[in-house]
Amino acid sequence: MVGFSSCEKEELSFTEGDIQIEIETGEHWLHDFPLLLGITKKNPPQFAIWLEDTKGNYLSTVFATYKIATEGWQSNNGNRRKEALPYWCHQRGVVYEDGLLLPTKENPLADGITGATPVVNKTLQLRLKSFNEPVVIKAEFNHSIDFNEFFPEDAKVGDANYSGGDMGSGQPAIVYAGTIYPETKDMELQIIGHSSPDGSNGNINTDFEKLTTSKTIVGKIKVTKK
Amino acid sequence: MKKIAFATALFTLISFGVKSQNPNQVSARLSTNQFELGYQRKFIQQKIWGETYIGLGNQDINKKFDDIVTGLRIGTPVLVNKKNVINIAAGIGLYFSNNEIYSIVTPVYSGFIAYNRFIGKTEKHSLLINLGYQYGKKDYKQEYSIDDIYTATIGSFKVSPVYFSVGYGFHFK
Repeated sequence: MVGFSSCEKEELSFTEGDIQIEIETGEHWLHDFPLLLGITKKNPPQFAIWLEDTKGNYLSTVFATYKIATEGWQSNNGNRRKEALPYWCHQRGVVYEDGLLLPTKENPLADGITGATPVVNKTLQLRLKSFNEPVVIKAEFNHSIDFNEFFPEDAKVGDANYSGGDMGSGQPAIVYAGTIYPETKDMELQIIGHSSPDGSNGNINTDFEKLTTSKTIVGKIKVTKK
Repeated sequence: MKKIAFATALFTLISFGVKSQNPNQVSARLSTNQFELGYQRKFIQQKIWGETYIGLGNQDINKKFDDIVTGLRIGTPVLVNKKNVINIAAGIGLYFSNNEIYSIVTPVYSGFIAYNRFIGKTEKHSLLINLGYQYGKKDYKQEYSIDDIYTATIGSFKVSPVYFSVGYGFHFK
């Protein structure tokens, strides 16, 4: 029987040792995306959060937004948007049928770690069954068509600032990271750089001079051990 | 039940003295988010109508027109002339999301203005335009386990607050 209550609230139930990851939205979390006739829609960013060991080996994704996780882009005309979250794609290292590192409609990421992009703050619960060694938590965020003067819409293929063309990324994805130790109580992930603008490699670039609004997509990412 | 009684009493009061048009109709409506078929009849009192509808929506995560929408509406005319009727209406419905990530049923409440423009001499056909506000939000939990890692999060589904549709109505006695 369906109750006519729109106020039912699901909650995460943390137990001792669980890790809470809280993403606080920043000033530019929502970005204007054109629809038609000058009408725009406020779009939240695409992002992924994953774990690595301290040697840089990928362990597991813990959350990825729907579009990147399922090739769920609207009106992308076949563009797989490899510039969206290239660092995550390269760290994950799964090659799909077309040679790209992006999940496909046919082989999407697991349902349990794929979700709608939130328009407000997001909280994740993480439980590591054997948490004896430090673990690195990484996150990568990006907006489409987030152009600025350094990453313009009209950059040409092959240019260092080319980011996928007129419906591409604009400013490249921003990467955050932080190491959590078994004895850590709380910490914040820090920006470690930006990804390849055109998604052609999995390198991290630490030059922030050319980034403007993308640095404030995220307010902060807090990690707390319960 | 009290809310329904209150709404009915309010509609009765508002419609007092307003000349009625034939509200009995079957309809098809299209909006940016849903397509619906409706069956509407006057009830309780000549000037109050009720409608049941069913249709398809695309507001969940996959943006495909594969969700089911259904519900009930009641309304009453507030301005009427030979060709035009402006109604105020309220609705309660259910939104059945259909996607691979979550499966939830969200109650949706709405209040809107429904405009009918009769076409032709027989007054059997009309253009329908609805504009109003709707509210429907539901949280859902996602969990995932692989090897030594368990993760969970809460997602939230919310229907678009603006309800705008354009449609066609066929009137019958």
